[in-house]
Order: sequence, then structure tokens, then C-alpha cells
Amino acid sequence: MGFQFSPYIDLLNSIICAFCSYKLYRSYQRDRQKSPVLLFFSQGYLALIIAYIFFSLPRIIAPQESFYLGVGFVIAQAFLFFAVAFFAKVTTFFINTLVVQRVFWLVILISLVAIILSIYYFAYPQYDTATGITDWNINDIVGVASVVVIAGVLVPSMIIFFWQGRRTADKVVKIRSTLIAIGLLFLIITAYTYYNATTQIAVLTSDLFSLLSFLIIFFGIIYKRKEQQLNQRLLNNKV
Amino acid sequence: MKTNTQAKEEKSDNKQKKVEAEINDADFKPRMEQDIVLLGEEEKLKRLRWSVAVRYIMITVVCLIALISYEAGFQFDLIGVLIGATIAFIFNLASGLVYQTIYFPRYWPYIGIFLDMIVITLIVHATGGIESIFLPLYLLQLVGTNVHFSRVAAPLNLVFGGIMFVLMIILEYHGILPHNSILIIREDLYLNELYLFGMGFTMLCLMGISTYRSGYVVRSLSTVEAELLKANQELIRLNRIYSKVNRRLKEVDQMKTEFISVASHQMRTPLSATKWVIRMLLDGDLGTLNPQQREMLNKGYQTNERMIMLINDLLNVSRIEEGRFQYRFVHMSLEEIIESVVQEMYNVIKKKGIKFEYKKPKAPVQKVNIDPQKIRLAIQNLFDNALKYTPSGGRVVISLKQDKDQLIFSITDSGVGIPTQQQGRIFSKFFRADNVIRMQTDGSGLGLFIVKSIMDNHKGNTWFESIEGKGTTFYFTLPIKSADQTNSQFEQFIKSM
Repeated sequence: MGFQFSPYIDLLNSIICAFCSYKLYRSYQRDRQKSPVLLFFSQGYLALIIAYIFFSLPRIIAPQESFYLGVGFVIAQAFLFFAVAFFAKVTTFFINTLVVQRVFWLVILISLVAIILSIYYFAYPQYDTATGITDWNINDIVGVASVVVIAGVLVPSMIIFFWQGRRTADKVVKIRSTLIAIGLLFLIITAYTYYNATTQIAVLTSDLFSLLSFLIIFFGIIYKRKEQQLNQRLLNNKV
Repeated sequence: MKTNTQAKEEKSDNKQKKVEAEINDADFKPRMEQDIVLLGEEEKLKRLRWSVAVRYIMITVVCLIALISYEAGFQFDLIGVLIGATIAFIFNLASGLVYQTIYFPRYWPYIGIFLDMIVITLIVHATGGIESIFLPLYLLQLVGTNVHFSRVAAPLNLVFGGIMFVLMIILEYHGILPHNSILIIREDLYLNELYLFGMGFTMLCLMGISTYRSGYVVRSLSTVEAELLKANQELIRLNRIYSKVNRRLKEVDQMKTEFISVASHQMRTPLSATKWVIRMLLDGDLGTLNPQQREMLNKGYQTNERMIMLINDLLNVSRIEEGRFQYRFVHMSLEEIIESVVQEMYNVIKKKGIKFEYKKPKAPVQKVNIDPQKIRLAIQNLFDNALKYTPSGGRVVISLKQDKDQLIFSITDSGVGIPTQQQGRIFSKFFRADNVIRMQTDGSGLGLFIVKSIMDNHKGNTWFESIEGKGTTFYFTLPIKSADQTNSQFEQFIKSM
């Protein structure tokens, strides 16, 4: 029986997402007025935690049980779409604040259609004991809808982070937004390789790309310069 | 009897002495030392909070490695690992709560480091004892202790950890503790004395070296820290002095602004009354006036109007300084405002015989986020200056154009210009250049200060080009389509992460 790295990497991804979500929520709580987008970003990561848990746990606990794998996949997909909808809110906020809610509901609507279809055409994933790969048997329409929604949100997000990062003069903002943009780029590559992976190496590569992308985004979120920390300390110092 | 000036000087001297006394008071030094101690404790508390986060990461990593290794074929006692991880997790939860307090906990962290050694020994035992892949955890723990705690804590932890480790391998050797063979190397490895001695001795040596080396690094860092602390003491002292002086200056400035505000308000009411009385007289409401009377009243009316304008400027300045100059932004066309100001000023232009030109943009410019009242006031001020300082027959040109993501407004006159050496002070309050003072024209020297403040609040730029005797061009820019606002929102979002 081939050893499955994939579910453990997904579990690790959910832990990184948990750190990101917590960090962003703490920052949001610090100053709610300053940046409401932080809440959307944090909510997106919260949905991703659940998505990755549902992606990984059924494969760790019952890799041979097709039904549980299928149910886990549908739930994970639902939360993945939910996360994407929140990320769409973040991106739209920097393009046109007036349509943030409309875009959010549009993504939710498309996602809902995809989820209903994936329940209607319920697929039984197959676990290959020799390679350790799980073939999800994704319905074509669901697959296309997923790619459209994910790419439709992640590509503009990546462009926004790159573009805004280039425009800013602040070094910390530049590095942070560039790191997040690179992370998003890796995430797009992950999605592409994941849907086309047929060999164990391809699956492993895709998983490693996902891990790498979440780690880069995580570093982008926590990155802080020494002088920024010092300034913060001096500001907090009640002298 | 003291004159007014003497009284003021005496008052000012007293204030200065009061500030110095506050700085040099007996309580100042202890307070400063207390601040430094607090700063040190705050730093330690931060490190402890960080250690809680690190412990969570370690628990997660150890559990994951144990789980993956177990899946890969290592025969670990998973229950033992989970018990160890759970103890550490519960303790960490409690530590998190303890370190949330503002006071530096004295003994709790020490319980933590010794408990960590017990948990590590438990995990090492559960994952193969002397064969365990988690043996390096001991080294990590010792380095961590050196970083977080005092010079004594790390050697103490070394002794405690060493005893735990040696005790574990002896107990396993004698069969008192069951040995979990991980079946990777040899089943009876834990019974091989040579291996036990070699591995045990190497581990103890490595633990000792780790303690010594990390301790050395931490000590040298502490020396640097002590030096920095000294420098910090001086900075804190200076900071206190400047803060006090600054506070005093702000108080004086505040008093001045309040005085201007109150005086202006008090003066505006009688001036308005005077204005309407003269207006009624001029309109003939109280009988017909002879030409001489009309001329005198006209002069009085104009002087009164100038006074009202000055008072309005003073009130605006005091509002700006007190932060009460409220802005209400709307998305609208700048052209509309310019055209309305031009229309309003048309009579003055005609009366003065000035050649006026408005260079409209070739294509309609985009709308911008502006406060129409404030922008109107800024354009009025610039226009008023241009007309005032341009002699009859001179030229005034207004232009508006769009450049990528901003609108550029300019107003050029062929007036007296600004002397080169005084150009740096042109946006200062109450500043009027020498050449315009000599012209004996009206003006408070507040107009350009107000213009600059308005433009700054619109995230625009204000500047000018001037040659004395030839004329001046004033420019201001306004960001379009809130692109800059989007960028600043984005910056704020990224910064606040």
C-alpha cells in the first residue's frame, strides 16, 4: 500500500490557514475601523481551514471508503467556494467598494450551482492502493465551474496584490503584498496541476505547491521589519 | 509699577522655571528607572508569549511527525506521545492565560521548563527511548531555556533533563520501564551497553555544549542590550524633557488659537450689524444722501467688508488649527466650480481691465472626490490674489487639464511676483511678501495658508513658480477616480495585518 502524503499536507495547510486566520482576526480586532477587509480575509482563511480538514481527514481515517471520501469532498468543495467568495470580497473592495456584496453573492450563487451538481452527480472517489492517489471522479461541469470560480477570483487578486505592491513606496507593504501575490500565483499553479495530475509525482508536486503557497502567504501576513517593530514599541512606550 | 511687557516676561520666566523644576524634580529619576524596569519586564513577557506560540508549533510538529512516522512503519507508542502532547497542550493553554496578565510571572515559566523536560522524556520513551528520532528535542529545549530565562535556568534544566534522560535509559535497560523498539535498526539495541554508553554520553555532551554555546550567545546579546539600555535611558530623559516643553508650547498655541477664535466671533456680530446699517443708508432707506455722504459711506462699507473677510479668514485658520475644519466630500466636476468662481469674479476682472483667459480642457475631465465649498474657497483665494496683485491691463490665465490620474489646476498672472528669498515662506500664516506690503493692498496673509491646508486634505499638491516683477503661477493637483485613495486603503489594509 502506497503511503499517502497528500492528506497530511492538506492537514498541514489547514494548520497554516488557522494561523493566518487567527493573525488576521487579531489585527482586525485591534482596529475594527481601520481595515474592514481584514475580516473578509480572516473569514476566507477560516473557511479554508474547514475545507482542508474535510479534504484530508476522510483520506486519513478511511481511505478505502469511497462514500465517506465523496461526502468529505463535497463538504470541502463547499467551504473552498465559501473561502473563494470571501477572497472575492477582498479583491473587489480595492476595485469598487459599491459592488463588494454583489460579487460575493454572485460567487456564492455559482458555487451553489456547482455544489448542487456535485451532489446530484455524486461521484465515488477511488483510492489507488498502489500509488496512494485518490481519483476524485469530479463531474466535468463541476470541474469547469470550480476552475472558473477559483481562477476568476485568484487571478485578479494576484494582479491587484502585485500591482498595488509595485505602486507603493512603503517597503513593508511592498514586500508583504508581493509575497501574498507570489503565494496566490503558486495557488493558481496548484489548482492547475491538481486537476491534471495523474501520477503520484504530479500529485505530490501539486501538494507541495499548495503547501509552499500557503507558507509564502503566511510569511507575507506576518512579515514585519525591525524598524517597524521598534516604531511600534516606541509608540506604545508611555514615556 | 510694572509695564505690560515686564509682566509678560515675568510670567514667561515663571513658566520656564516651572518646566525645569518638573524635569529636575526628585521623583524624576526613580520614575525613569521604573520605566526601564517595566520595559525590560514587558520585553520578557513578550518572549514568554512567543514561547507559548513556539510550544504550540512544537506540539503540532511532533504529533504530525509521530503520526506520519507511525503510518510509514515506525512502531511508536502513539498513546504515550498523545499523553505527552496533551500535558504540554494543557499547560500551554494555562500559560497563555497567565502571560495575558500585565505582571511578569516569577515562578510559572520555571514550572514550564521542567515540565517540558518531563514531556520530552515521555515522548522520547514512547518513540523508542535511546533509538528515538526525537532525541534532538532535548537540545532544542536547552537552547530555548537559554533564550527565555536567566543564566542559572539553562544549566539547571541541563542537569534536570540529563538526569531524566539517563534515568530513562537505565530504567529501560533494566526492564523496569518497557522499551518501545521502533524496529528500524536492531531489536536489542537498547540492551547494547556500548551503544547505550556511546549514545548516552554523546547526547549528554551535546546537551552540555548546546547549553554553553547558546548561553554564550545570549550573554553577549545581553551585554549589547545593557549598552542599548543605557542609551535608551538618555533617550527617555530627553524625550521627557521635549514632551514637557512640547506640551507647554501646545498649550500656549491652543490659548492663542482660542483667543483668535473668540475674538473673531465677537467681532463678526457687530461688523455684520454695521454692514447692514450702512447698506440701509446707502439704499436710501433712511432718506436721500448727498454725493459726499454717499462717497463716505461707500468707503466705510468697503472697509467693513474687508474687516469681515479678515475675520472669516481668521476663523477658518483657527478651525484648521483646532481640527474643526470639516470636510464633506462629493464626487463632482471641478469645472463647474471653476466656472462659477470665474462668473462671480467677472465684474472685478472687467472693472480692473484685466485680460482674462480660461483654458478649458480639450476633453471633459473626470469627476473627483472634493468638498465643493472648500475647493471653491481655495480657487477664490488664488483668483483673488491674482487679480489683486496684477496691475490694470495685465493678464490672468486659468487652466485645467487632466494628467493620468490627477487634475492639474493653474492660475497665472502677470503681477508683481514673489521675491526669490521669500518664496519659502509663502504658505506660512500671516506672511505677506515685502513687495505687496509696499503696494499697500489689502490682505491678511492667510489665504495661501488656507489653500495649502485645503489641498493637503484633498491629498493634492500645491506649488508655484514666480519671477519678481513678471508674475506668478500657482498650481494645485487633485487625485482622480480615488486611485490614490484605493492605494492608501490597500496600504492601510496590508499594514494593519
